[in-house]
Amino acid sequence: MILVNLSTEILNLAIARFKSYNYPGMNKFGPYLKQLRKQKGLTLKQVEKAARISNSFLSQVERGIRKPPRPDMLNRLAAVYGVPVQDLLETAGYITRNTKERTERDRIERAYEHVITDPHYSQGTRMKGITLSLEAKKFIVEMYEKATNRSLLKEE
Amino acid sequence: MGQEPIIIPPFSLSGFCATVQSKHAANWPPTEMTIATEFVDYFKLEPIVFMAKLEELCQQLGITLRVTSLPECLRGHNYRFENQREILISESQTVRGTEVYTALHEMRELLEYEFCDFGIPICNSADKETRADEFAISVQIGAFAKEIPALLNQASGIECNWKRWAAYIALFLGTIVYGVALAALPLLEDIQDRNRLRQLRN
Repeated sequence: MILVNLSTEILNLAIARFKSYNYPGMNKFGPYLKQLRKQKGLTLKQVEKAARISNSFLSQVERGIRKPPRPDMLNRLAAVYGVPVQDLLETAGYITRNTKERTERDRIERAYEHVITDPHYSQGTRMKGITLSLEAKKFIVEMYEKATNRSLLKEE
Repeated sequence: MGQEPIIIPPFSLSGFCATVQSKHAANWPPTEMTIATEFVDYFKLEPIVFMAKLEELCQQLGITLRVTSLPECLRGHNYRFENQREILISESQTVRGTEVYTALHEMRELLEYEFCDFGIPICNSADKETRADEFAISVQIGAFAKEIPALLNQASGIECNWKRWAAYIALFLGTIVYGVALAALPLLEDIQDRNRLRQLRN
């Protein structure tokens, strides 16, 4: 009995491994998706309701035994998790952003992180929707630069 | 040698926060309606809050208030750094009248920074936006409600019976319509923005 269970387990692992070899980028997509959900403090059931995607499917994707969802599903997930859909598309392997674009995005994200954690600077916004676009983050950083006379976005 | 006392200027955001604290310390944190009512009294707002009045108020308080071009997903933005305070309102507000709402929303966030300085924060990061929205509506309703007794008094002075009752009814209906319109404004704005986004996508 133990032997049967063990061999089933090994077989499942082998299948999962085989499937993940079939989809590049999948190894990191599942954990990334799970991390986003945990950051938002949502359960799979809550995501199912908000994004209209089955929770068992999401669970399998998070565990890396199913390939990433279709782009339209990723779009809905991005709205629920409050992240740019490009991030999900890129991690899922649907798109590849060039290095310059990624560097620019990273620079803005880093600068924005600095702005919102600076204890001497307070800021707030009234937004449309729940996601702050990269353009808006850049604007907030520029306002910070103007007020504090510091430069955060300058190319390194 | 003791610490130097902190001098709070009378007509200022910090002066306002100190007033709210002294009046409502027993029931802390105060509701947004309470803060709004105090705000209307302290800054002597008129029954209907117009953008021009807010601009004037901001000028007196040393806040730069600008209606300008903002990124698509922003309706308003505010910041405070040292003595600089600025409120920016998007020039492309989809529903008329929401500039005042947005300005009051941003003003509430500026007030929260002052409350934090006093060590008595009212909001947390989760309810900050909801409370600022609530404040924006409450200030406008509070300013109008403050005028109702005076209007009722004027109406009661009308000699002709039917005209007096007509004035009462008009006042009652006017108050309800104004209140509902103010409460519906952000919802209307959301609907308009969603439609606009859908049109852009198509």
